[in-house]
Amino acid sequence: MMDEEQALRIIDDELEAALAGVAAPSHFAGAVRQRVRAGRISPLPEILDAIGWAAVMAIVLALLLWFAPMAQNAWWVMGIGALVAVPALLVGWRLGAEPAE
Amino acid sequence: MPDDQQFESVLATYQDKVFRLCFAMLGDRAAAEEVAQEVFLRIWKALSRYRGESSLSTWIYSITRNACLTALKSRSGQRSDSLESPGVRAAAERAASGPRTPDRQPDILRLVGQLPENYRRVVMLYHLEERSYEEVALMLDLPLGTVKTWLHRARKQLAEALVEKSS
Repeated sequence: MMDEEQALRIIDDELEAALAGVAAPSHFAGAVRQRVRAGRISPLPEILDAIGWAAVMAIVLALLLWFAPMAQNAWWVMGIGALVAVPALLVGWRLGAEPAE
Repeated sequence: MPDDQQFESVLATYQDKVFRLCFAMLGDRAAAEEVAQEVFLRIWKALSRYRGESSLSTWIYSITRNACLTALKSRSGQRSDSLESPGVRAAAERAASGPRTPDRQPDILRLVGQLPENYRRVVMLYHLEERSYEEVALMLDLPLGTVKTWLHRARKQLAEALVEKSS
């Protein structure tokens, strides 16, 4: 018949053998690095976005100047400038944003 | 973006500890690996914002515990997270790397699996962390006295179960 002290010794030995030395598998760090690389924000989509926006704005500006040559009016120039600047600011903000925790 | 060198240093220092904490909390080696990877991804994203207000280990273990609790919550609706479930038990059996007698090892892990969750975590972590009360307390964010009390009660329950089984 086993007493409690014997049982405790067996438990400690068994758990020690089963659990001591358990460590992350050898491929773990590599897998983490791979996920980190995949998680990096690439600036390429944002740059393409910015080029697209700039092209659209250039076309809009060209059409406005073609059909309404009142672009010499300072308010018109400021309005067009804002149309270009706001998307640019948004793109910049997105590029600089940290990924959410 | 965080400093790659700093992240590499954190990864090298904490990968085993984070993995073991996940394993103790989840009771499943495969799930522990998945969640531990997720933890390091979070660490990588947040490292540049780490201000050193708490110690690095405290911060990392807190992220790990939260990730494990989220994983436990998300799977609680799907299946039992006890070591009693066949998949979890099999994973726990695979955790052993030493020369074990195949028919004895599952018994002790099965008995551990029958303990209340908090006792199970403390017992597993205590043995995973080479019997360091301090490390277990730090990793689970528990007072040292609580760790000792839970461990004492858990071992007593395990011993009683083993005595009962042998008689």
